[in-house]
Amino acid sequence: MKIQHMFASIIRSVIILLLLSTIAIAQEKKKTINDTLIYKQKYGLRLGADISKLARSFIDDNYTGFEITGDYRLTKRIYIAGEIGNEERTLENDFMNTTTKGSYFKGGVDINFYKNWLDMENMIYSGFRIGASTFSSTLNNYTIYDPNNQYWEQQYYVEEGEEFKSLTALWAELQIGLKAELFNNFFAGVNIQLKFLISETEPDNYENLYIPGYNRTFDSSKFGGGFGFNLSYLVPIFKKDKIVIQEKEIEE
Amino acid sequence: MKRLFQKKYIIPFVLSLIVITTLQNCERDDICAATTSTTPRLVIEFYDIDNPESLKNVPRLTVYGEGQILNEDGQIIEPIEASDKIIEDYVNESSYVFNVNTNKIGLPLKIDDGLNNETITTRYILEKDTNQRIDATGESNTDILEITYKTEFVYVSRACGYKSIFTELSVTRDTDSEPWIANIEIEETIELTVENENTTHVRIYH
Repeated sequence: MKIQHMFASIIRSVIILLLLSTIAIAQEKKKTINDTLIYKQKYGLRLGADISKLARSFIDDNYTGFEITGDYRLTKRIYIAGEIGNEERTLENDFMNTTTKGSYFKGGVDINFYKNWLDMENMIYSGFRIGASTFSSTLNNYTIYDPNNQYWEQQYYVEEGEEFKSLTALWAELQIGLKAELFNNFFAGVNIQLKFLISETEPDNYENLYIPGYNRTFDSSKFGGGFGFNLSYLVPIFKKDKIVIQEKEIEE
Repeated sequence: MKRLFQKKYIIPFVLSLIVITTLQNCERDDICAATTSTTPRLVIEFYDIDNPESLKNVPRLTVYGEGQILNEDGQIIEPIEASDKIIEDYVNESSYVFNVNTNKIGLPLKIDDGLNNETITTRYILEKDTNQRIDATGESNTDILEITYKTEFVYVSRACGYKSIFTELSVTRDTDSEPWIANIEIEETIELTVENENTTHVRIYH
């Protein structure tokens, strides 16, 4: 829920900025002339890491993972973007304890919807990805679920692990997020992810409870979710001019 | 004003990050619904030996596992109403199959009999005319069922984990000078496998 507040405050600040810019134009009637401004826009490869996965690796005993993110600016608004990562996750409940580990890759595009001010290069974007994961899943132990086990007073517990190898999954993903330049070439970003599972290899007599990159699966639907918090650095490769024609007012 | 993100926004960022990470740690526990088909009991129906297609109540039946009814010293005794190892009624979980007229019972099977064999044995005592023993007006008639089978563990769901089904089922009655059970038949349709409780597995004729 906190993340919503955060988005709200960010969006609010964006709106205030936009309002301020309109107020600046709405002044006394004066003669206007066009003024052409040219800003240099940096194009290049932005590389970063998902800090939330790193932080979680430290906090959560049942999780280790990292993700490297990258995007490359193609046009004014379109970026080619991708993530590559590795995760290990242990899930446990009353009846099962399982560990899933593996790597994933996501590739796609980001489209920036934010009209930047002056020479700024912030993003409020929507992204589309295709994700693929290869992983293995180990059933560490499990208990046979028997509602009548009170009668013979036995909880049958299977301790020997079984490993399900070379599992794969493929999914499509929608992202909404923002990236902001904190200081020169250094960006911070957040995003939320909605995932739709296209295909997966089902292990025999078991199911994929967790898929690296996709996160936990749900019994009743093929949808999943996630979020990211990235810090990234832009390696500028070339610059392009951004031409802004401004109406300027001068006193007659 | 050059930058959209000033210092004051970094703190909410980090805070929300921490909140989300902690929330992820306590995911909603999925609960195994009672309606889910998990490890089944062995479902037995009692039929009339003279009219094999019609159900027939066993008068004053009491059912319990062999060696399950013990006194305080750990010795095997005959059950009384307060004994806690009488099996539950098939339909009504809060009543027990003690001294009742019934034509359907469900027997919990052992998943492990401690013998480490592939084939597992569970033995049940079926006592007819329990009232005669209790009232001391006569004798009850006890027959012992021996049920043997193999177990097979089948994945159910994230919430329930695995269940056991029972294959290669065989049900026999111990030889007895005065049996009340005339014949035992395993339903052909189940193919010797106890998979769920939706169907009757065994017919006992008496």
